[in-house]
Amino acid sequence: MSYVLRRCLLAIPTLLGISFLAFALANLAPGDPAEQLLRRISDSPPTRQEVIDAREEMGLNRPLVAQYVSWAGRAVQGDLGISYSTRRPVTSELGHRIPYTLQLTVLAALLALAIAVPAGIVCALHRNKLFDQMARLMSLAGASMPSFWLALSLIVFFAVRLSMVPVAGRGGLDSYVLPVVTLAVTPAAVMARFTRSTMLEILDDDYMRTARAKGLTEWRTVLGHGIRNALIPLLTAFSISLGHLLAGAVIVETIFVWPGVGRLALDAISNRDYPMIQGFVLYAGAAFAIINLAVDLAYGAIDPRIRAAGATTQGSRR
Amino acid sequence: MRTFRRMTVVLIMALVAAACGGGDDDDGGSAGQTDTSQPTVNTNAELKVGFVDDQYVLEGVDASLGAYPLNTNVLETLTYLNDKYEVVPRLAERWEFRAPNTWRFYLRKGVKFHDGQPWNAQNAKVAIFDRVAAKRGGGTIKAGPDSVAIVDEFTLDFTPTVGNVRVPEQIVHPNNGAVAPGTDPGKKPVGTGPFKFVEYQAKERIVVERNDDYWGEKAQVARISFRFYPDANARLLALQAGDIDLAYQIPRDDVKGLKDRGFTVANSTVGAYRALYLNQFGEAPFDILKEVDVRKAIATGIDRKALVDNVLVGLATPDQTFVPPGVLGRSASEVKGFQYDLTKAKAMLDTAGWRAGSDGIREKAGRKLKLVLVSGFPSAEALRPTPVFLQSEFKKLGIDLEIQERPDSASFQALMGEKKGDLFIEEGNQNDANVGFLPVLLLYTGAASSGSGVYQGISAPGPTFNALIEPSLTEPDLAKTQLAVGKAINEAVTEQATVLPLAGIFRIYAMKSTVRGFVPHPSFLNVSWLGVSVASR
Repeated sequence: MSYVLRRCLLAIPTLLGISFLAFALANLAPGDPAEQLLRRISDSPPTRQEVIDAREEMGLNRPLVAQYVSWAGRAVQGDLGISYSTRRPVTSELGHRIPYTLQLTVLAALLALAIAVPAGIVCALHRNKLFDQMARLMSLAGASMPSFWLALSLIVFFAVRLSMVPVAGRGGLDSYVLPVVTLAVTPAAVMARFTRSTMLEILDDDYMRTARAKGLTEWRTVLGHGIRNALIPLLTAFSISLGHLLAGAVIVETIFVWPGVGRLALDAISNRDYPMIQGFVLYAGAAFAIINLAVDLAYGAIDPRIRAAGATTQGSRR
Repeated sequence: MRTFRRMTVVLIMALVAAACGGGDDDDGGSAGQTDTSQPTVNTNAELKVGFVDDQYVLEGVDASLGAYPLNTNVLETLTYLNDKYEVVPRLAERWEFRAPNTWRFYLRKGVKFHDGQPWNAQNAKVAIFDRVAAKRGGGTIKAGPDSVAIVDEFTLDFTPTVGNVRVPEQIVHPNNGAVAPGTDPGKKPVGTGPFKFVEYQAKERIVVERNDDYWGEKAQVARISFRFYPDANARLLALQAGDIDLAYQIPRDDVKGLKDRGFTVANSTVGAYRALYLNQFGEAPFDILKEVDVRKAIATGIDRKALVDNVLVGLATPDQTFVPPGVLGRSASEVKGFQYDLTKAKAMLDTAGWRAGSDGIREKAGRKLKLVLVSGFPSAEALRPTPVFLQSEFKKLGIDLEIQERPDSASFQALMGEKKGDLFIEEGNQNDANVGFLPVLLLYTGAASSGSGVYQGISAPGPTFNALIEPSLTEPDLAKTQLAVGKAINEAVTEQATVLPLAGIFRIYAMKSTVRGFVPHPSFLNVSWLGVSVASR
């Protein structure tokens, strides 16, 4: 428990550091948030005086460090400020959008796992056979194709030609198919290759040979002994993919008209909406931190040796 | 879509080369939709419309749900901008100017808000003028808290906080729509329009339904569902898949393909312009265009007809004014512009001392004639491939043109403000009937100037322009105003060549053949859905 608490506390300075970096970079980008705001809400481009007034009102005339410190002070109390462009609290905007991203992310991650792990195992068991060759070709394609191209190709085939699913937009279950598949392809391809190479290393290990010598079938050997030992590197690869998915799939959300955090971040950057950019960076950082923590804890559950090593380290420290 | 197809081929070839695999080819299209059976109007139909991105403001005095930039016709304005850029009556039946600075509006009778409140002078004051007065600067109409005096139940006087002779032309903007007193336009807009608000899902859709109590002709469809598609390819595919009936802003390259598949493609008259703003006040290395002869040579050496025919696929006109000719009226002919003449343009550069070097690029005093073109408003993507076309035109003149694409409009304008570039290309819009709006805002530097100064900082034509346009600031008569503005634009475009309009741009809409009665408006903000119907077969 103290380990979890320590990791959570460590995440706070990390997130603040990331947010400061994002804040500084956003301010370095050319473009005035006040002018962007006025252009968006008004029926005419703003006058000089209107821009000056808006900058004052938005607190943009204060020194950069003062702006950040004031933001960070509120952020640790859970107040991420008001979005320049929507005029709503950033926390409420993020809270509204995160569930939409989660819907896609969870489904895409499960789909990727469901494809990648069995495919990787079969490839390893049938190394250099036709299935292996085909799967490697597909995974190469899956890992290298840009998501916008894949998304549009899927739309053309399944929505326009076959009329099986809608082109875009949230609706019934069928509306999830294309965005989820598009999102799942890259992690599935990467994890399939990862599973294959990990399994290839494991298949020749002593304990696998022992299991076979005991008379277990190849499948029982793999399922009973191989997978468990391959889980840790797989979990690492999975956590990285999941982190990227949770941080929002900008292109997929844009093409499929999905109101998730990816689109929110894109809009925030275009509008120079600093509070929203900051909020998004914090969210993405927190998502990675939580996943890393969960993975670390899972390591111990999967491999008792890690638990024992952790206990020994803590014991020796005490 | 063409880019998408090229990308498809390249990607497939790359994958084959990398892994000796294969891939399915894809022509990105579907079968045609032609149908020759006799249609009948289905008054219970739902029209599905694909718009671009959702940019509604939902909070505060600037809340614009259902009105701006996507106008769902829930709110109505006192005056309306029709597709010919004429100001016509809407919630006001007529209006008149009363010197020195008052506009009297005679309101339409027999109008009700969707919640049953009556439309009268008192409610008009609250629904329009008080709301606009609360906005920064009192909006374009310059409304103040005490600007309205009620004359009788259906007549009011509006006196702007500063002299403003253009109120009827400005008030057409949907941001000036009438919102029922006591309602929240950011959550549920309640207006007087032919459609009533039903629901809104941010970044997804907004739905409206026919107002059966509308004061005028009733809408032809029962419901309109507007869906947001920020990606142009997705919007196009949604139309082809039948998910939507009508789509805004169709990429020019896809027009022919859509027509071949049986879709109707409708274009408006000129509602936007593509122009180059020339930096005549830059410091080295962005100081070459201080020379007016070089600016005029460039203006003479651009083949606008080729641009319109080949790059803009004929869906534009080679206009040399950045205010649509429809807005300038007969005074559009005041803008002379430049006749394309490559030989003459080269000779002009020779005379200016810029001689062709051994590599074909002109030089003067050891300095190459190299210019930087910055692209990015509204986006570099939207302007492609015009900058590349210009690069080839400039090369014929012996000018080395470097293209710098900015990632968004904010960084484009920031660069313009810093004067870091020689030419800035953009596509601007005309969304109201105020003829002097753009030239005053962008180029005027006289005593009454209020613009941000960014465009003036590089392209202000100077005192003659200011003197020519100033009468338009105080002249209520439209024809006289158009004449003043026409002469001023000619000074900027022809005499000083600080702004080089390249083309007048049409708005392009595409729809299924079952959609009837749609009027392609040159301003996206002012599309009317009243007469649009869906035929059933």
